[in-house]
Amino acid sequence: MIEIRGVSKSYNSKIKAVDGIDLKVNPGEIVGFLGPNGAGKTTTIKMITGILDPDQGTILVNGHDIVRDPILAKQSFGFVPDDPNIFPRLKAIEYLRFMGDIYQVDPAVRSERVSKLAARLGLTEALGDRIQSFSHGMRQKLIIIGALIHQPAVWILDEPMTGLDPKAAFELKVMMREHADAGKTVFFSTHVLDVAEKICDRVAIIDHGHIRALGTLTELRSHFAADATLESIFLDLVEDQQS
Amino acid sequence: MKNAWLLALTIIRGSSFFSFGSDAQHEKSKWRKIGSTFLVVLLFGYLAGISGASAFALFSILSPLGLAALIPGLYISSGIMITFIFGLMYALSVFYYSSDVDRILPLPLKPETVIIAKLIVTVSYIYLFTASFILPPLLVYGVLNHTGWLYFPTLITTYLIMPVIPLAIAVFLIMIVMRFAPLTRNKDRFKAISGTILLILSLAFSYTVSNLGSLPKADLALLFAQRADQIATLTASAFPGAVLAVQIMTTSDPLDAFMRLLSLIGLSTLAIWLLLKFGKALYFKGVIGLSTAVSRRKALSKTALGQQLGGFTAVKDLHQATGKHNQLAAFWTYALKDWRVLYRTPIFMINNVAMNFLWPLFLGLPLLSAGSSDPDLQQLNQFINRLVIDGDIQAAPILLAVVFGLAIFVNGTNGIASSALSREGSQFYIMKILPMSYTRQIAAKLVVGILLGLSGLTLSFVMIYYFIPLPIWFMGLCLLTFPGALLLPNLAGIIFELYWPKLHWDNEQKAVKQNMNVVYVILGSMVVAGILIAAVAILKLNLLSTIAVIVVVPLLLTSGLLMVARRLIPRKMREIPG
Repeated sequence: MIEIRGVSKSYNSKIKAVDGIDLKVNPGEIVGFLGPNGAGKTTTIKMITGILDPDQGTILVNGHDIVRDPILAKQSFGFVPDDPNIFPRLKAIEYLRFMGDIYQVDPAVRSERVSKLAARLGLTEALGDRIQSFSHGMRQKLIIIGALIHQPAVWILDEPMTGLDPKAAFELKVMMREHADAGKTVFFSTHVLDVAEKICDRVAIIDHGHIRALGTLTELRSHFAADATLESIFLDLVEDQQS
Repeated sequence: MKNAWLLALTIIRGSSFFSFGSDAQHEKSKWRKIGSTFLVVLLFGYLAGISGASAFALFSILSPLGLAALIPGLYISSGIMITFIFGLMYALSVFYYSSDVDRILPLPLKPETVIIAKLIVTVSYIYLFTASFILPPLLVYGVLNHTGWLYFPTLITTYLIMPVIPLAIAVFLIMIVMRFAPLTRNKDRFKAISGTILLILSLAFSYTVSNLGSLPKADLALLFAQRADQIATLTASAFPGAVLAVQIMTTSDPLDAFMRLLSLIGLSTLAIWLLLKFGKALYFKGVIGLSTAVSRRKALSKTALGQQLGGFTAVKDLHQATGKHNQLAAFWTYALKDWRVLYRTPIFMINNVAMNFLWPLFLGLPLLSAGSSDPDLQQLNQFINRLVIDGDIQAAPILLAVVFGLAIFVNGTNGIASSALSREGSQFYIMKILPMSYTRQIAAKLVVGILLGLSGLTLSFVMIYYFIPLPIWFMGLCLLTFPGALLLPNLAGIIFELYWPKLHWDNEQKAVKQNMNVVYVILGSMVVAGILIAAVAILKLNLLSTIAVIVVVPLLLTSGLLMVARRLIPRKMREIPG
């Protein structure tokens, strides 16, 4: 579970990138985090993962305060950043061993977990190679495997589909669903509204640092036309703010 | 041509070459930026002062012998040699290994436009690099020799044209190598090997120059005349136009100088034309596809996968034996990751790893060479002889102080701790998402710096023991100086990094070579070493007091820094934006 309460963040003490947001991602659900460029998505995700400290408010990940109890909070989530360029000079297998050691995964179960994830995402043949030789999509797959090696209860994914081939993207969506169905939590940002519409239990739309809408697609439609798509709802909300 | 200038300016503006200091210096504090610029100007001025003073000294020796006219020849010939040697390095970096290559190649620009632009960028770097030690001596010579006002504009013009031919040759050679040599496909290995060779060449060059300065006057005049002749002959045979450049600066006839200048301009233009002609055929075929790395794409067997994912083996065994939570494995795997990044990244390998082993060699060789003419080294040799041959214990304090001084200097220059955060660059945020305390992560980084420093010191220790039969008790005392010499610069480096990390870079070089934290630690190490050596020498301390000063004081300072670091790390790490 992720719980965000009254969180604000400003970069220059003038403009608030995130302004007093509240958001709860419950166990067993996938929540999509949508918003135009510069809306506050990445800042929010950075605060949830401990990269940035909020100016105000609290964030709980699996019940652990990310500011007061960072190690336990970090141990409970797996994070896939939007930039998969991590340690290019390590071999993929070395990176995964690093993640296994850091997250204190029992060495006896690593091999099986990595094999399964690599097979699902189509990265088995490249595990012995340097990350430097990987394409963007392959790096993304590796980061996903690394983030899930400790089987975290909470998945936080920033634009996870970017660069993935159709098969891997499909597989990831299936994995997200399986994870949520197992009573765990998935929170991800995306610009691909079709993906959000298909797999999210709820969506949160952020703009200018404020959550503009939060709910299931049915709940959102209740404020718009009955046959409105997520895309039309999103555009209406964002244009409203710009006009 | 307009496009070439535009492209060159864009590359220079976007490059890291002209920027020093941390991110904070660029983004936040005007005063820090001014301070950093002041320090760079100070260093530049210091180098210019040294080279100017060397010309002054040479003039005072050679002028009475009627050999003063050799001075411009030596500096110009040396400048051409330096341009060629460093031109190879810069050409490789600017033409092939710069991060802009993939962005420039798709632009609708003619190959010659790209080559000219890159040539402008490279020559700009050469001007900046050579200005501090080519121009000041020639200016000093002009003033002392009363050459007349025309000498100075001629000097500037010659200085601007002089690098073109050696640089064109360097670029051409690099283009040939990059087009046909299969080794270049392994970019990292090629960079590491070529960089280490160039580093050794430049250290050898500075060693030769410093040796030249320590000769007695009469020998110096003779040796200088020989060396000047050797260098001039070498450059004249290797680089067309080198003779012209020297003659321009030495002729007393203005018309003659002007005609030779025109000839040099003509030759330089021809060199550029030829480079463009051949470069069109060579450059693009050599550079395309260079950014892609080779790989095997072979699946690991089940056993290999299991073994390689098995965790930090020694600690894993401990974990299995004790059943305790495996935090040690996390710590050592973190240090191992840092070590792998260090030795696999060519720039880090050359500047942070190789330096630990090169410095002891370069500092030790003159000491070990029996015929060294440096008075300081001779004095040091006397102290060694007193200790080794006469068994004079009174010689031990100063030697112990020198050992400490060298040890702290070598550890200060490796820059491992003083670039520990900067090397993370845009990946710094990873430190923030890992479930490992910042203190432990930084401690793991420190361990890498300390172990590498210790390796360098061990090499020096073995080398000294092999060549100089110093008493065992003295070698034991030397070992006592190592903890302070290792810990002090490493901790200071981390503290500087916590305040001013340099995380925004587009080229790994910027993280270490243009990082002021590394400079601060080198200067700090020199100051601490200087003060402690001076204290031992001036106060004529006995052995016991020397041990107290050389061993205990650095350890006390280390303890202080350790307390500061422990308090700072959690706070500063949170403050640094990821």
